[in-house]
Amino acid sequence: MATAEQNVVYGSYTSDGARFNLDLGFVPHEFHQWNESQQDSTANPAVVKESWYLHNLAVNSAYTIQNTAGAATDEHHLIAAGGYRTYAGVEEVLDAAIVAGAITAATPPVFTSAAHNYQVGDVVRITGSTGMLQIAGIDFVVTAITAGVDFTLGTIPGAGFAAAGTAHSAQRIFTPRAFLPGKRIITNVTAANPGVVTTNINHGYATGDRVRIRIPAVSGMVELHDQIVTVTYVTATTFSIGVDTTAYTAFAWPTSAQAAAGCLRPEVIPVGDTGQDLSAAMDNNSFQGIHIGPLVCGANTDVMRWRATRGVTI
Amino acid sequence: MVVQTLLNNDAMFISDDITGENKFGTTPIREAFWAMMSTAVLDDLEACNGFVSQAQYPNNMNVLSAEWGSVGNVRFLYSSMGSSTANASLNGNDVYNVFVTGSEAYACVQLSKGSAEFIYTAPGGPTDPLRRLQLGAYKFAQVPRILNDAWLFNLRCTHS
Repeated sequence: MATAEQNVVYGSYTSDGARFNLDLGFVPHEFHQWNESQQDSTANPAVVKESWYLHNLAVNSAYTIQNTAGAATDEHHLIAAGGYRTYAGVEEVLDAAIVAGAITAATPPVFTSAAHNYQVGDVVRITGSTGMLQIAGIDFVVTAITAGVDFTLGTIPGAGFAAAGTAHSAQRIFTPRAFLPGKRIITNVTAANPGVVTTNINHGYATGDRVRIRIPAVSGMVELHDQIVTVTYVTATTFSIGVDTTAYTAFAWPTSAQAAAGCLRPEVIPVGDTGQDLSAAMDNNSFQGIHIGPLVCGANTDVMRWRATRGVTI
Repeated sequence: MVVQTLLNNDAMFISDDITGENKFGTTPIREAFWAMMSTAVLDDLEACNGFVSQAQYPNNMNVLSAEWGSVGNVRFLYSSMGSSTANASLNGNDVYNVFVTGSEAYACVQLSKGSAEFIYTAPGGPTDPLRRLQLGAYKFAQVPRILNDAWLFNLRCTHS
């Protein structure tokens, strides 16, 4: 009985040591990688020379061939974390929550978390931020890490908060934003000419995009509420709005108690663009393929070769 | 508050009212904005004060198959793929996004070069000698755009 291999795709990359998503255009049934740079390495068990994923393997798992500690031999393993994860491009996927400790009332705040496995650029969703509930339920981008100790979320002006947080739960958002541009939470608006808006995560806006600013009363700068402004890109998380906000009421975060009672959040909502018409709504950032985890992506400068296949399962 | 906000922004109702009729257990339905929600919170919708099931509408001629009922000037459509944001409440519970929309708040632009096309590959061929496999697929190009975000309201809620 013949079983056809419907898709077979080959590729290679030079690793930067960081996990990443590989867009294949399909969900593979098998994914195989060879670490070309490390094939001759010995006695270094951290090195994964070869790894592969087979259909329905547990999430984040991988079959690996690694050095034997203290010997010039290799051994086989089935790892349960840091491996592969397929993605079909449909639903939002979050990693398991990591419940951890204190949050400093600083700008930016530092989140104590010995078990975190985040890297700079990851987007995490914060909940259960006891004592600092105004940031709960919001996504933020990781801007600094100390492995095994803590991580920093750079777009939160925590120095203005009345108290530090005593606990938190964080979940990495595995999937990218499907379509850009999207709605963003405003974390700060400067009193300047022109005012500069900071968003909770990378905004994805371009100069010329038109956005509506919504500022609820609890966020202070109500003079800006419901204005449609034109974006001038500054950084991935900031943009200027062409409005003189120097005389406006200062932007503020609600208190933890106000957040617990329920309050609206300041938002920026894309409403159009003055550049290429319709281009923004067509920017599809989703993918179908496989996530290559930190234990199988190779070390910085390693040359990795891979093969992805999809066939028929029986 | 949702209806008040949309009306303050000059949003227009999508559907006309359904006039009352001489039928037991039915009630007239107001002209309405339309809401799109997840099936996960249908029970909470039914618990809302003033909820009217679509089964109680006096006339079902304009009732959509995906309609669950109405509350005041909002009629609710449901889908198992209704929008939700996982673990996004203060306490880590899922947050459901109920989008309430007025007339012409958004539109879909169909691209002329991307008309819907159904693709069928019959069984057989050199890789399928036992003629077991056949493929069906479709593709199309579409651009949805929000025309006026002031005529849309995202009512976010958790499940009770």
